[in-house]
Order: sequence, then structure tokens, then C-alpha cells
Amino acid sequence: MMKKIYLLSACLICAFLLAACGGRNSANSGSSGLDIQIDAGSTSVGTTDLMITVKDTDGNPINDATVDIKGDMSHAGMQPVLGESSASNGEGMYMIPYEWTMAGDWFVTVNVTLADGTVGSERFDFNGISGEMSDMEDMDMEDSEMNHGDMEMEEATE
Amino acid sequence: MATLKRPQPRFDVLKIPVIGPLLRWRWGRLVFQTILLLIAVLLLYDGFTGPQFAPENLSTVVTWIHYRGIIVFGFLLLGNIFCMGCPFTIPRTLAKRLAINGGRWPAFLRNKWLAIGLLFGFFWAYEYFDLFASPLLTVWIIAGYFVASFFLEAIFSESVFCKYVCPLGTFNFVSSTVSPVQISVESRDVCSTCPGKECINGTTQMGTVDRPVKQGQGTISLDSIQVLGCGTELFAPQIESNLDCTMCLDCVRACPHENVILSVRNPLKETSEGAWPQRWDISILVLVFAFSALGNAFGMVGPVFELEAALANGLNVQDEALPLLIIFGVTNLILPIGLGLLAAWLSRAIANRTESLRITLARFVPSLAPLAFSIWLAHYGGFHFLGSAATVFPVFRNFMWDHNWFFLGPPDWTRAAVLPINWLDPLEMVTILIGLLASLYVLNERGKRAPNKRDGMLVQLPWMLILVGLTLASFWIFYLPMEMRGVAFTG
Repeated sequence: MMKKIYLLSACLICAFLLAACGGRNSANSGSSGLDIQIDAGSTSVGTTDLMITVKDTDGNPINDATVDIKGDMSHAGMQPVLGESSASNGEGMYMIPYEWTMAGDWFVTVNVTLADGTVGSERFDFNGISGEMSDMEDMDMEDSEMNHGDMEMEEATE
Repeated sequence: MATLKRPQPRFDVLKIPVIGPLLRWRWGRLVFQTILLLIAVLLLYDGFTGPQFAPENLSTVVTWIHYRGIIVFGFLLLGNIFCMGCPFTIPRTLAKRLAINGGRWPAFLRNKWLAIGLLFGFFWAYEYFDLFASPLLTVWIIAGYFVASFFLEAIFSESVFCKYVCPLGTFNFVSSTVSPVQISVESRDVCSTCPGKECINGTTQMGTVDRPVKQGQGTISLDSIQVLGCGTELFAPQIESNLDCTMCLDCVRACPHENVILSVRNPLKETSEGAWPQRWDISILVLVFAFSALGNAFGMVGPVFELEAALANGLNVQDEALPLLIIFGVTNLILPIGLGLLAAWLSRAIANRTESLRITLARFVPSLAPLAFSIWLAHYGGFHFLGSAATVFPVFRNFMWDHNWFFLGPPDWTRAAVLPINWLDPLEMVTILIGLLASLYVLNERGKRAPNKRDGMLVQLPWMLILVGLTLASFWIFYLPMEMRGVAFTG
């Protein structure tokens, strides 16, 4: 009995290790082939807007895409902040209402679905979201830009 | 006419249909261990090969949300269920069989000092290396546990890893002192006349082929059972504490008389009535366990980052290691030991006793256990588990989706909390208040057990102040908004 259980466990471990050769699709995902840029109105805890600009490889704005976002913190267990927009401003920019729900390091994953069904995805780091509450309704653009200047934002290098 | 006092009959969990026979079954523990082993393998696989993105990796989600939450609820409802099904001990059992003539753990390490140090180190490493944010580091720790358990058990003849080394086990041992079950025996008379003491010696060492013993309804020989005795060398009829009990139930399976039981008890019985060990290391362990409950939560709120930055500037260092070591050194070591010794000294002085400070400390320190556990329960069980446990469903669906197994559908990322988020704060506060009341009750009971005369309210006052202080500090920390430690230290 004992030997059978050890054998079974060993087989299962081998199966997992073999499966590991393939890895997960999301772990292996590379560049989307699209030029995706993101800009946050505020980087303090509270509500804000994320401005996402989508362009093709030639730098032409894409205005007929659907953009959805998923904001996660660097740790497990937080409910992600989700948003979606298919309304471009004509220059490939999509504005999505957003909320930084906690101070700390965030990742925003942007998924872009083009009209022909092509999907592109990029993940962006927003390190050091401030714990000081903000509200876009009470914030003029000058404040917003100042906050953005203090923020470390970079494209994730997975 | 005087009547003889008879002990109340104890409820034996092992007599519950289905559960009892499963736990008693020779391979019963292995069933639980195999389940947890498979989960551990899954975590290792995803941690090493999956996206290095903590919110979407099973290793970080299951380890830091579910493992911690489930074990604290386990202590509350049953006991040390993780150690019972610990997957790390599967290779340990194999190692034990390979190393029959292993040596003994060195005498100077046969205490909890190393475990206290490792527990402290674990909490420090958790914050410094941002383990909660790193699938890879998380699974390296899991792998390290397997390796450490195997080699220590292969070298030494006893369960060294469980009893003296494992930080998780150390945490579990202290937590289980307020659990509602405990290993005990049906009849001490049976034990006193038992020739083999198989519950501690195991059946492989004591059996004789020609001496059949009763096992259930049938009759079998001892040598054919080959069940290990208690790895942590506890003798079932003398057990009055869950400290060092891994609830492996090897003693239950090894006993040829079916005399070992898993009895239900008052959760406060051990801390209020039990013969608590009068040892420095045990007392300090409980103090560290209690204050680490605060230190661990303090590591995730805004003021600690300001404190770290101030220390880093003062010390002129760029790395977080030293400031964090100083902060945790104060909150998790210096404060508990200092305040514990001060309280014991004051209690002894007020009571006008001449006993050793070690004795006074051991008398009162168990009173911290219920409150400390309630803070851990509120933190791990309330805030993290109830606030986030459902995240495992989309994460698992995403895992399946990534492997092109689409039958569960795409992940629904809106799932996270088990209870409404606005219930959590009141629930945590009530949990801690119940812990405080339980601790005050235990404190009073411990006072009654002082030699010669009861240690009254005034003698207990220093400990009351510590308990109330811990409660208020936990309220303060729990009501602060959580802030995640930044990946880049900005000291």
C-alpha cells in the first residue's frame, strides 16, 4: 500500500514536471505588436481616470478597439479593479474611470481587442501609489500632472 | 456522606462515524498528507513555471491567503490540522525508514530557542523579501521545507524538524494551546500496565511475532503493524498540552489497546488549568508569538514605512534590511521579553514572593495565548481569508485557461471576498475582544493557582495592562488602512 502511494505520488509529480515544460500561456506571452501607452490622472488612493493610447506599429492611432483593464496590486488576494472602454477620442485614446483602492505597488494589465479580433496585451507597473486620498472631482489638472510627475511608471518586463 | 469525584466522560472525536475510522486507519494520515502533497506540487509547478505575478499565481494565493486562513480556523474549530496533514513529513517518514540508527538532537538545542529565532527570522524575511509578492520565492520556501525536513529526519532519530526547527510548526504548537481537542487516553490504568508503550515507541521496535495483539475486531501481530510512535516523544497518558503535538495520531494507531483518544476539551483548559511548562524558552515563545501578532500586522501599515525611512536616513543605509530588523527586533523580541520580565518582576514583588522569576513568568504568560491567537485569527482568518478567499476561483480558472482547459470557463475576476468587506472590521474587533475576555479569564484562573495564596487583582495588574495594551494596539493597527510594502525601498 505504502509503495503504491509513493509510486502514485511520484507519477503525479512527474506528470506535473512534464506539464511544466509547456508552462502557462500567460507566463509565456510576449509583446502585443501594438503600441500601448497608459497615463494616470492621479497616483494617490482614490478615484481617477486612466488614459490609454493605442497605436499600430506605424504609429497610427487605432480608434475602433475595445480596451479593458485589470488593476492588481503586487500581492495576492486583492479584488482587481476592472474597467472597459470602446470609445476613442479620435486619436486612439480611451479613457477609463479607475480607483486606486490601496496604497502600494500596482500593476495595470491593458487588453486591447481590435475590430478584426486581434488581441494585444501589455502590463504596466505603477510603483508607489500614495496613501493620501485623492478625488478627481476635487482635483484640477495641474495637481494631477504634478502627481503624475512623481510617479514611477514603467512597462512591465515579464 | 462524601462522594467520590469522578472525571467527566470525555467526547472522543475518534468515535464519530466515518471520521473516526478514517483517522484511526493505518493510512489515514497519509490520505490527508497526499492531498496536501498534491496541492504543494501544484503550487511548486505554478510558482516555478507560471506567471511571476502574485495575484494570478496559485502559489502566492494559496500560500498567503488560504493556508494561513484555513489553519487559524482549524485551530479554532478542531486543532493542529496542518501538522496532521503536513506534506513535508511524507519524505520525513521515508527518511526515518532510511536512517534507523540516527543520532539524537544535541542537548543544547533541545528547547525552543532555535524555533523562536527561526520564527522571528521567518517574519522578518516575509517582509524584507516581499514573499507575498513573489511566486518564485514562495515556492523556494516550500521546496526548502521539504529538503530541510528530509535531511533532518534522515540524520536524527526523532522528529527534530517538527519539534525544534519548523517555524510553521512552532506557530501551530502555540496556537493549538487554545484548540478544543487534545490527545488523551481512555484509561490511565491500561497505560500503566502496558508493556510496550507503543504510543511512544512505535510498533516496529517493540513487537514480537509470537505475541498477537487485539486491533479492532481482528487479531494481528504487532510486527505487521509497523506504525511509528510519537515523533516528538510525547507519552499519551501524560499529555496535558498541545505544545509539541502534531496531531499525527501515530499514537492512536500504534496503541494496541485502542486506549488513545482525541478528546474534546474546553479550549481554555490548557492555558488556565494545565500544568504549563515552567521553562524560559516556552514562556518567551508565547510572548514572542503574542507580540509578533502585532508586529506582523504593523509591517503592512503606513506608519511602519515612515519609521523605516526615518531609521534608514538616521543610519544612512539604502537597504531595508537593517531598519526592518531593528523594528521587528523591538516589536517582536525586545518589547515582549522586556515587558514580560517586567510584569513578572512586578507581580512577584506585589505578591511578596521569593520564587524564581521563571516560575512567576510561567504562571502568567499562558494568559497571553488566547488574545494573541485572536489577533492572528482576526488578521489571517478575518482580514486576509474572509476578505480574499474567493480569489482562488478566478486564479484557478485562469490557470486552467492558460493550459487550454476551457471547461471551467474564463476567470471571473470580480470574485474576492467571502463576506461583505464592511463586515470585516467589526468582525475582527469582536474577535479580538473575545480574545481579551478569554485572556482575562485565564489570567484570573492562573492567579488562583499560585502556591499558598491566590495572586489577586493587584498581582495580575501588570499582565492586565499588557493585555489591554496589546488589544488597543491591535485596534489601532487594524483600523489603519493597509498599505502594501513597495518593491523599491525608498529610505
